[in-house]
Amino acid sequence: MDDYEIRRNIWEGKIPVEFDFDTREFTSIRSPQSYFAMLPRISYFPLCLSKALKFLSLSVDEDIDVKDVWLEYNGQILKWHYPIGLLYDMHVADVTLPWVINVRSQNHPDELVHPSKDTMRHIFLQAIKEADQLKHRGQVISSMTKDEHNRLFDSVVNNKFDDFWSVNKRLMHDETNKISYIPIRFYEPGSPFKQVLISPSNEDDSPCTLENAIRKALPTIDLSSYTVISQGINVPLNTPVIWMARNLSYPDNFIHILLRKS
Amino acid sequence: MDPWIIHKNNLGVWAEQRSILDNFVRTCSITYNSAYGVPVLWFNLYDSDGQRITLGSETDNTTLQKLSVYKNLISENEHPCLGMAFYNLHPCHTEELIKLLSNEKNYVIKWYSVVHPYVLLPSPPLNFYKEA
Repeated sequence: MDDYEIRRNIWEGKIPVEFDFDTREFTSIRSPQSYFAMLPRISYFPLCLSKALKFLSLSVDEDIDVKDVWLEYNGQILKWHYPIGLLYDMHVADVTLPWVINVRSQNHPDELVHPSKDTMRHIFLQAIKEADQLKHRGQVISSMTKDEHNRLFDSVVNNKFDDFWSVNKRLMHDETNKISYIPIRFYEPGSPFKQVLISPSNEDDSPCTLENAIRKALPTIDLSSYTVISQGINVPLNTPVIWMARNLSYPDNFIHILLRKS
Repeated sequence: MDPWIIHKNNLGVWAEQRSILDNFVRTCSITYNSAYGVPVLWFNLYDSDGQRITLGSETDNTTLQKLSVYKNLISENEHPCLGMAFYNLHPCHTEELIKLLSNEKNYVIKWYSVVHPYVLLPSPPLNFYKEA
């Protein structure tokens, strides 16, 4: 059931990004500037902006902090509390790389969460707790120390696969406690995610597949006109969701599924 | 007493209330979290220019200072039906607190009596739990 190769590949997946700073937003630069970076799919933009902003700060001769900016692609605000890989799958319909993102500094949207490390830590840990609540009624996460919770987040910040899994393997351990529900969220572009209670087995005891789960969450969907993506790949609809929970989850322990009209 | 209005969209049901206090506009929202099986209280405060207020930052305002005492129970996240940033009271703590006040009747009133001191809310949305 557990696939080390897949877990490792998911952790190491990266997206080439070009951060663009233009003269209308940053009036003290004389010409548009760009900063290129390879960002981990499993990380979050507010945790990955420091080098790009340091570069910009040199050009404008003042310190630009992550709270001074926000990110936009194709006229849309990037919800930076979502993992980078999920945002890419959500916003970029065709494969044109690098992913060109506009860094904005004015008209800061009120609907965005604040990009402080503390807020990112809170949101990440709230998701992990909720995922464990679904899987194990919260028993595993409540048996861990605050230090272990923080190690889960810090290992994402520092990109340390082994540190992460040394704690996460306990959240993935299901032998004695049968898993109650699968942590899974469904996204359609332009909408907040849909989340419903999904059991690992169907009523007839067959394993719940991705297709079964989608139909439970979105009963009226016509799947033939959609592409179903997670972690940048088209996931076969007959994949058991319990396998996905163990191998295709993001570090927040949720499976994030993107449904895009094809 | 500002009314609670029940809203519905394809993502769920929520109760919403908008009030004017001192020099703020306060929007409160109650959603239901199916993972914990508890209601969740969300709120935002807006200044006189309509800008959303950041909690936890330096302030001279006494209401905001009082609120910052509860900062360990409050955090920011995305409202599940509206998709916008709101502050919330952690649902996991709600469950612990409810267990201490255990009494099956008037569950929403009990929950409400726990949460309302934190955000100085006037009256509970009695219809909400039926809808959820």
